[in-house]
Amino acid sequence: MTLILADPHVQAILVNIFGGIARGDEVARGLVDARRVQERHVPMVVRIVGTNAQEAARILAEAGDPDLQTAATLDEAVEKAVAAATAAAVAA
Amino acid sequence: MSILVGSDTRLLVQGITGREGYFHAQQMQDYGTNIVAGMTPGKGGQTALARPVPVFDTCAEAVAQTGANTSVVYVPATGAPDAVLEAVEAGIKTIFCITEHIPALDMLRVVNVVEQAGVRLVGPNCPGATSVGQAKVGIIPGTIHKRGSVGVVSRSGTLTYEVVEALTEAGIGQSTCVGIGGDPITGSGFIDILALFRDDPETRAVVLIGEIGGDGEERAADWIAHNMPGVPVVSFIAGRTAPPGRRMGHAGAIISGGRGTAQSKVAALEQAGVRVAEAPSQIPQLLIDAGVRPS
Repeated sequence: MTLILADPHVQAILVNIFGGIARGDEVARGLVDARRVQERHVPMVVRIVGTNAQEAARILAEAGDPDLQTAATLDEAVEKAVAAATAAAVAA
Repeated sequence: MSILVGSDTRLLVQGITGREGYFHAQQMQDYGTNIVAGMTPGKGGQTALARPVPVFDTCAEAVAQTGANTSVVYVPATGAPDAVLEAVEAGIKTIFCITEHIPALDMLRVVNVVEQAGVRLVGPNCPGATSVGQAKVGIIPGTIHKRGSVGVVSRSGTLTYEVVEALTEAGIGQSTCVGIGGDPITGSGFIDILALFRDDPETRAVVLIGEIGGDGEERAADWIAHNMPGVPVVSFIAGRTAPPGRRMGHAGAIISGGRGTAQSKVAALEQAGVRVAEAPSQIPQLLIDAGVRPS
């Protein structure tokens, strides 16, 4: 996340995980922790399905991060990420 | 009927006492897969899982005591090549290797031995296979399927799950879903799996999910044109916007020397009469267009 945010052109981050071997709860915890230590904040759209997806949804909801949206499908995630990036670009 | 795995699968889990091995062995057992044994050197005599299965020190013992006919390897990359070879030596005929990061040179040696022994290897770096309602071997989430007549073969684990979920939500069931793995050197290729689908009475249409790198999709397209007349085939190729020379996630997903581009693969498939989707979510509609009926 630090690497991605080092690029000033990045206006939003999309994370898509369909967990097989990857466990959704571990990914969600990692994302929440990683966001807490960033100096620059951009909107993030997260879609986590598959292994341990329910636990992941709970962790993301409890994070209380107003710039963090979730999505149920990949198409929905892409639409939300593009909308967030466009809004950020207009504001800037 | 189905391919690779089914109700006659008697599964040996290699590395069953490890973190991933145990977790996914339990998921497989909960799905209904008949796990007959586990093996981890030095852990012989233990049992594992909720409905306990015996753990052996060697594959040979596991096969002799339980009649295992299929194995799945969750052993870390340093030991995985030897784990596959040990399963071959023990007489296992179908082996799935889930392990990622096995050096290509090690796999070259293993694939040669596997071929000479007449054993079918799927992987490495693959999600395994699920014959819906019968058995799942590997790491494909068990909740995303609906039983039906579409066979799915893919180089990508995640894209397999995406496509299977989209099919299920559209009311299109699957026979067997197979991930062949994203490494440059693997056991079974697209054509090996397509030939099994062609000969499977339960499979009436096929989804082929490819990605940049290598020429597996081009060769599959040629094979489909000559060997699967009348069978609806729909495809998706990942990496249309990938820059040349950059590895995109999988070790084998790289456009090198201008070869292995998505455009080349899409063109070859379309020439073979395959309908190619621009996004995974379009696949169900393309199958319906090809004559597959949702239920």
